[in-house]
Amino acid sequence: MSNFHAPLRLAAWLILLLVMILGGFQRYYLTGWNQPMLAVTCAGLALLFTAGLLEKPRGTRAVGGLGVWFETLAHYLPLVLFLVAGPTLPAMNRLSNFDYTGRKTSEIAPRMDGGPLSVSLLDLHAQHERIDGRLIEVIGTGHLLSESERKNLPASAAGRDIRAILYRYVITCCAADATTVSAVLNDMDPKTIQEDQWYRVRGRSRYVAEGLNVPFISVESLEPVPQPLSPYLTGSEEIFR
Amino acid sequence: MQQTSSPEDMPIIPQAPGGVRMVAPLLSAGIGLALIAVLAGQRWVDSFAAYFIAITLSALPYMLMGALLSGLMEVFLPPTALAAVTRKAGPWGVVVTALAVPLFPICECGIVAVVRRLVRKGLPLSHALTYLLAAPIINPIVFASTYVAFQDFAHPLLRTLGGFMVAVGIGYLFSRIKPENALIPGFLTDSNGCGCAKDNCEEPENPESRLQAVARHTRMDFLEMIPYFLMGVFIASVMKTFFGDNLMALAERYPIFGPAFMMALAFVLSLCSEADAFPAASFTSFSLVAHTGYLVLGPMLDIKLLIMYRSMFRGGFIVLLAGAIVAGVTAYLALLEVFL
Repeated sequence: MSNFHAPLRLAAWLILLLVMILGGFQRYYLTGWNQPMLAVTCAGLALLFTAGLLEKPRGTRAVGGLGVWFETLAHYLPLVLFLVAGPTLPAMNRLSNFDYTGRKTSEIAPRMDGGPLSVSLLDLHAQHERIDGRLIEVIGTGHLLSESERKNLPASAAGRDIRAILYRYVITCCAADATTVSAVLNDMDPKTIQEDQWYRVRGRSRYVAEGLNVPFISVESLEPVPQPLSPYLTGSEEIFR
Repeated sequence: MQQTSSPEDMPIIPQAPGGVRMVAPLLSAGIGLALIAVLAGQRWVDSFAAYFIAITLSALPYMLMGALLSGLMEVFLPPTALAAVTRKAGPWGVVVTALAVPLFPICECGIVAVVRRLVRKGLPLSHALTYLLAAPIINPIVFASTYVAFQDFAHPLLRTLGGFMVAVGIGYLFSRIKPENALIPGFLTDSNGCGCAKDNCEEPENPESRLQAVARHTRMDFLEMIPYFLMGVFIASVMKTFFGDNLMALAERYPIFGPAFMMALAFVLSLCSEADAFPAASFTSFSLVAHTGYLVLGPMLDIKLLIMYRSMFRGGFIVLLAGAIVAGVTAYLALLEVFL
């Protein structure tokens, strides 16, 4: 009976990786350069799995008991956790296929029709010299600052209208190293912001360095949109461009 | 470990030494509670699940790489080679080990499997500790990513220097400790880690069978490390979910305690040493010294590693080692404060 445990445990990891790769779920957890590593790992585990099946049984010592089954169960926990709490099919139905995250900032160019520049929240920080004052379009999640959050703003924020922000997570390696990048939304009714809703914002951006280091967007329009296919911006792409 | 008389009696499934029998039920119970919380609609589970799965997926390739390296060493490295080389290096062996680290770079997720094999192959404990602590730092990929994150040479250079000094210092500090006092019982008698409890498995000579042997040892090492790894990731994800943001906010509010906060942050976040510089670079209010504390301590000591160390070291020794690492990094930071 115990001979089943090694292939069972390897199968847990193979299934997890296959689900991630075939379902395209890896983009929710890993940055772009890290994703091909999963395919290589999956191939390696498949080889080990096959080699194990082809191997002549060498063991006769019985290793059993509840502890062994618990160990085997432990190997399945990431898969179970993903299926229950991850972005599985019901969540995917809410997603659209438009995505700003793969585009590099060097691609920013004036549009011939005079429309807004499509930029990311990272662009508003890293490229603010080129963007300030121009009509832009940016996507992110809305957040209304609570009273306590407003009280904790730095002293240099005094006198400025900071009630609503647009933010997005930036990852470098995986979702565990996520940090936020944000912009303040001005000239709009903050009550229109719904928590955790994704928005496409059009307006003119102005970067404020003095003690804040944050762009302020004078909002001209605010449109709820579905979550992008890749919810994260990737810091490394910005840095390595 | 159970004693057996022949390789034919080896168990088919890997038997992780130490407290894995305790790790797996704890892990299963913890995740079970998380799943109940999902059903109860608790939103923190989303963050927990994202951290847990993200760290697991990002580390998995390196875990497998470490296990493969370990399997290759088991089959192709002669049993007496490491002992002979270290005898030749004499008292400089620890320094030579640290200097040789860039030739065998490996990140923190794969390093424990490799060091387990090296110790079983006869590498002295002091040398193994030096390699264990230095390899995830004195590493060309880590140097490059640190440079890219901070856009200067000071951070990667001070990180590399700190990794070298602390690893060598700890190597010498623990050079008098007997392996049997540091390693879990049965670790050395089960010298090749396959569970057969013999000094050397009678590995086949023909290349095809050798490849099979590499696959077998790789599989065993990989599966043996996973429960410890998952337990470490589980605790790190819980800490990050409930305390990560608070710790970051505190750290930014009191920059005077920067080095201590940054070291605590590195311990809690448990990020891969190849990517950990990027979040650190976002803490612009902190000094170079505080950043260095984060960059040097994280790859040597974090929650995930602490649990993985349990796959080879005794609990008491891990406490000693953790204390020595914190003391070593603190001393290094004090030196930097004086000279910078």
